[in-house]
Amino acid sequence: MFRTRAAGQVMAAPELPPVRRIGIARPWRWLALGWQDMRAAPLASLAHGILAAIGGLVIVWLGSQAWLLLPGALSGFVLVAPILATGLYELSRRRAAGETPTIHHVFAAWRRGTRPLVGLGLLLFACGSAWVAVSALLFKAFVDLSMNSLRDFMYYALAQQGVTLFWLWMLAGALGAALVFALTAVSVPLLLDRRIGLRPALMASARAVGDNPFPMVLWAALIMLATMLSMATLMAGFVISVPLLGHATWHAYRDLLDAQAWPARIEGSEP
Amino acid sequence: MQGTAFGLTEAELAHLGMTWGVGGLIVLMLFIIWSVARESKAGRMGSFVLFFVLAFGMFGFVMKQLIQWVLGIG
Repeated sequence: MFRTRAAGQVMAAPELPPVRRIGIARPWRWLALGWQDMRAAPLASLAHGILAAIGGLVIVWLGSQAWLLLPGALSGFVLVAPILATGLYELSRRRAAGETPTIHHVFAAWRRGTRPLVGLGLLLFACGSAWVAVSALLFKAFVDLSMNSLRDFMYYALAQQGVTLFWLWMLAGALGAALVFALTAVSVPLLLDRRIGLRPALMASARAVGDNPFPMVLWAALIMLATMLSMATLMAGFVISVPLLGHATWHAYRDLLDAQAWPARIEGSEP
Repeated sequence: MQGTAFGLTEAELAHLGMTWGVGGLIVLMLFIIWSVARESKAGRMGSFVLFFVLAFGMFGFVMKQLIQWVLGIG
């Protein structure tokens, strides 16, 4: 497979971007670099966090007032999330290139860099919806009572049914989460950075994760912890955690994948 | 016996179906993971999935306790 780099110049591109091996403690460095990115463009960064926190509060509100809309809201969230995240990646990318990152870079990324991400968003939406549908089906098959509120549902889901069934369901969810994590860990920054197809990007991310299992488990655990703490603070924690993790993900991508053989997606911004 | 199919009540049948259903889902997930690992030529995807599931399980356990405590149930 050959890709043209410039007029008359032909390069043989590998099937997938080569993966680098990293040490187990590397995720901490990603967080440190992400923190520096936040300080370089605080308003633009925190704006993403505020958007995410508002989204979280809307979801909580739906849970209490119109809880049947909850599955749709959650699935809708994962549709939009990858696109919003590119704003954070672009800020990191610009800072790494020696520029001063601004909110205008964010808007440019949302406008120009995100077409393949619509495909990814739809994929995530489909997976999220499928998961919710299957879980609802399983629940309905077992608990044949009318659910009047979220509290009723939680009561039967968490406290009433057999322990074995709950943990089997949790295992199925964990496997699904592992799959989604592996496919999206570094593919979204890659899709923003380089002109590459969706499938190769997903596979490149999966290989980066599979070749570096222990650092990536640590990274996943840090994300789970940040999410749990953010939710425990009534979504306020997302104002900080979303930008921090977003910027850090850019550095994770830079550490794990070598995508030099692919042309830059946003013209005039090759490193 | 009245109200049974294959000698099981409706509740037992539903429970059996659910358990096999979830089991089938788990097998499907494992297959998809294996398929992705093969296509991406990922080295140690198995190790990753194993420890990820453990971490997720711990996370899920804590969240379950938290939700039950917040909602005052269980």
